[in-house]
Formats: sequence, C-alpha cells, structure tokens
Amino acid sequence: MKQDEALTIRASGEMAVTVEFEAEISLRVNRKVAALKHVLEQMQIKGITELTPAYRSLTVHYDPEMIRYGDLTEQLLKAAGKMDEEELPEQTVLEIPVLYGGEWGPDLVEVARHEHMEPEEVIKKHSSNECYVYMIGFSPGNAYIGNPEKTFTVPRRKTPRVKIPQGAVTIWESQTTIFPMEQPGGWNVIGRTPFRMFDLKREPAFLLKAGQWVKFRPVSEKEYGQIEKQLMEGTFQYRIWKKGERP
Amino acid sequence: MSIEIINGGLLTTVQDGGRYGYQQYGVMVSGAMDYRSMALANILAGNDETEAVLEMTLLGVTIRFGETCVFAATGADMQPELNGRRISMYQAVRAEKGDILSFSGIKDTGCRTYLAFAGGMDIPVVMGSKSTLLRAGLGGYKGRSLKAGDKIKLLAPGREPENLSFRKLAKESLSGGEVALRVVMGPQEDRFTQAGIATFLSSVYEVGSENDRMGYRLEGPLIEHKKDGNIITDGIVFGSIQVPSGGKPIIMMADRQCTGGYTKIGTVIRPDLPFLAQCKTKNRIQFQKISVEEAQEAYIAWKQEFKNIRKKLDCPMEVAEIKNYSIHVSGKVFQVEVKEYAKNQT
Repeated sequence: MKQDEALTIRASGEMAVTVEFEAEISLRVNRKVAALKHVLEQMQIKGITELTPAYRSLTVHYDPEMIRYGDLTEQLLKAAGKMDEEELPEQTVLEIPVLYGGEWGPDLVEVARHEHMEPEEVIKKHSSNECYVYMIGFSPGNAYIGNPEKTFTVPRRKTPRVKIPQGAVTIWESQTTIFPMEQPGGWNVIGRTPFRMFDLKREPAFLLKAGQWVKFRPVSEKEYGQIEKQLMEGTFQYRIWKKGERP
Repeated sequence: MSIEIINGGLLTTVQDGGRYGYQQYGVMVSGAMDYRSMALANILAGNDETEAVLEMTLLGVTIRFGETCVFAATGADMQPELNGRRISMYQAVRAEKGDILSFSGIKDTGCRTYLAFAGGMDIPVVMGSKSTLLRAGLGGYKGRSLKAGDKIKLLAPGREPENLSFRKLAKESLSGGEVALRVVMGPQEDRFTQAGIATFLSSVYEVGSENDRMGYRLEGPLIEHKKDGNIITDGIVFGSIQVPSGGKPIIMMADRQCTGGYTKIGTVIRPDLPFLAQCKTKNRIQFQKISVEEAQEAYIAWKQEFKNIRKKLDCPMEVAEIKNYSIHVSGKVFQVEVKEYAKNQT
C-alpha cells in the first residue's frame, strides 16, 4: 500500500493495483477518477493493459513482464501530479426516453408511497435533472447513474426479482440503472426505455460511458412505440448536448 | 472441414486467453479457468498459447472429425478414446476423417479438461476474444455451451505441428484434494482484524458446493472484520478473495463481475489459479502470504516455462555428432551420413 495526500495505491494481486480517492460517492471524487484515467490514457505507460473506473477508485491492470509494481506505482504518482494540468474531455448529456409506470414500471406506485409522493411527482423528480454516469459494472453495459440531488430514499426490494426485462429503468435511493439484458435484480422497476444499453450490432456497442451525463424524458406509450420503430429502422436521432448547454 | 459434436458433455464451452479491454463497460473477462492446461494443450498442438480451446467440465464431449486433424487434451484425465481405443492425455494425436474422439468421466483428480485443435477453431472474434460468456450469451459458439449436432469449422484442417511423434508431456499433478495457494494481501487487508487475518492464513478451507466459472465459495473458519464486509464498489481481478460480512471467503474466477462491493482480503496469484480451477467440492485449500514482488517473480517464471516447453517440443533432438562414411558395395560407392542425436532432458 502506498499513500500520497491525494490518493492510496493498493495492490490487487501481481497484475493490478487499485488507486483510491476519498471514500465517498460524489461527483467531486468521481471526477478525480475520470481525470486520472484520462491522464493515464494520454501517458500511454508501457505495460498498462486496462483501466476499470469505479465510484471513487480506478483499477489499473498491468503486465508484470513489462512493468513491475515499484515502477508502476511511481508512474501512477507522477500521473496523479498531472491531474490538475490536463483538461478533461467535454462532458456530454444523452436524453433517454422512459415510459414510466404501468405494466413496465410495476414498482412506481410502491416507490411513490415510500416517498410520500404521487406517482406523477416521482416521474417528474426522476426526469428533471441531468444525471451522472458514475461507472459501469455487474454486466455488460450496466450503468450506475446518480442524480446529483438527493431525490429518493427508497431502499432495494426485500426480495430481488429473478427476471427483470432488458430496458427496465430501476432505482435505489438517488441512483438509477437501466437493464442491458434480462437479469435478476433487487432495484425498484419504475419504467422502461426503448434504448439498448448494449448492442453488438451497433457502433459503438455500449450506449453509455462512465463520466458522461444522461437526462431522462417521460414518453407516452405511443411515442415509445415510435422510437422503438425508428431504432429498428436505423432512423432514430439520439439527442445529445454538451453539459451546461441544454437545448 | 469441421468437427461435429455428437455429445456435448456436461458443460463444454469455447474459451481462450480472455476478453480484455472492456471491463470499463462491465464486460466480464471470461477465458479458460485453468490457463496452464489451456496453454499446454495449445503448445502441444502447435498453436499460440491463448488460441481458443474447448473447456470441458466433469464429463467430456464426443466428436466426429470431418477432416484430418491434430489435437491434444490436457488437464483432468477424462480417459479419451479415439475410435474406442484409449489414447494418452498430454500428447498431440492425429485423427483421420471420420474418426471419433470421446471423453468420459474423470479418473483421479481435477474437474476441467482442455482440448486444442492444431490451427485453431473458426469461432467469431467478439470484442477481441473467442471466449464464451454464458451469462450474457456472448462470444464462443453462439454464446452457449456445446450440444449434440453443433458443427465447428477448423481453421487449418490437416495442419501438423513439428515433430508430431515427440509432442508429449508428462501428465500434470492437479489438485489432489489439498492445495496451497499463494496470495498477495489486500487491497482491503486493513478492513480485517489481526485475528481475522491470522484465521485466513492459518486455517484450512473447503471448496463449497457453490463453485463455478464465476467464483468459488469456501467453507471454514469465519474471517473477522473490523466493522463489516461492505466497501464502495471497486475493481475485481481473477483470483480476488472477497469476504462479505458473513466472514466466508469467495474467490472470483474467470466469469467474475468486473467490480464488486465486498472487502477483498487478498488475491490468489495467477500461477496458482489453475490448481484452484481444478478443485472440486470438498477439496481443501490453504493460503500462503507472499509479497507483490515475489508474486511478480513467480508470474514471470511461470510464463517463461511455457516458452521453454514450446522450445523443447519444437526441437526435441539435438545433433551430437555427424559421421560420414563411404561404403563400397560391389563396385559402387555409397556416401552415408550418420547423425547421432542426444535426446533433450525432459
């Protein structure tokens, strides 16, 4: 374990280290993770094979045949020193249409009851701010999306569901995940999006990347169908804007 | 041009060195559980170390060759037979068109067997790898395990590696019920009490009944946390030893998630993971602490060994001496060259 005032480097076996920043889930700390990842991508250190960002840490995978632990940690501290100088790439926002409630959002009513709100208020609150993609994990394309404002306090369901369909929009407190494929889960299902988080036939295959933003927009069943059709035909235009320049 | 699966066995998937580079998108790495056996099967067949192979579990496949093909099987001894005649594991063997290769249950120890075909299999490369990720139905042969009727094309049917008759290795000793695994402590070593760490390093653990390509749950003395086993989710690697609040370790294997929210007391080093990958329920495990630096030395030596083995198989004989003779037979002269070989140490 190596410690700097800014970060801690911990060995994760002989082929990876985890670089940790402060122990909190916040936009401020996660931007440090994004910054370190960006600097390392620019530096192209020989022997680093892969970077896995998480909420407050970056796991750096490397090949000990090309770089040893001692040299690697030195390079990482050097990289950390450059974090303030390097300009991060522009942050973008992607609009995600959501059909809330009904058949596809079976937990919306229960969430509303827990929050002492009407279901309409839950929808409004969930879709009013731009939300931040902290990381992707659990399964291919499974994004953990946080609302910078504390929106809800609802816990995970006591009994997880065995099957939640692809496209399900689910929440746990202020966080949202969208199911990239049918899989089990304990989060509260409040709606569904026609967007595919992961599609090998599409370029890029992954819709979201850690460090970007999304904005949910409620749509009617009719519009949902139209979007789905356009996506299938390849005519759908994704709405993307620069952070801070919301149209 | 292909091989046909007559019986898919219990769980047979296409695996290679793994799908690296997409963990930031949540894509599990997958790949062979037992890297060493995969590498040796490939080296015997004259392939790159990480060419895609068939990974068979507990009960093997039966296949029909549609073409001449050199193959090699390594790992747990599934008693292979070619047209009903027992053949050796850890040996390159040539099959002719129409030959039937069958594996059955495991004799002795281990649980996974690897089958490599010279020249490799024609499996689509998805995100840089031919490995099957069952949970996402991705990669490999249609994203699933093999079953009767499947046909896999060979990339280079009939290809024969150098020195075919010498391409054999001594049978490996797999986990014989008890294995010692070397671990690098951390990343969350400091979340455990001194007593917890002592428990972890001095106890014998048993492989629980929940063990698969994703992970191995262990049974044994509970490991004590200072507070609990929860962390803010971070990266996981092959061999990460998670200890949730309950205190029982889970070792993360080939199909592990890329990230997780439990404290990790240590990481099993790569060279020792094949022993674990060959463990079955009730096999016993002990952990041995080593430093990162020692682990890296061990890793580099381990990788070097594959190169040495390949070299030995590619040119097994060294010419010790050449003698030239002129032989006169009934008025004719024959020039004869005699080479004396010194067999390499094995």
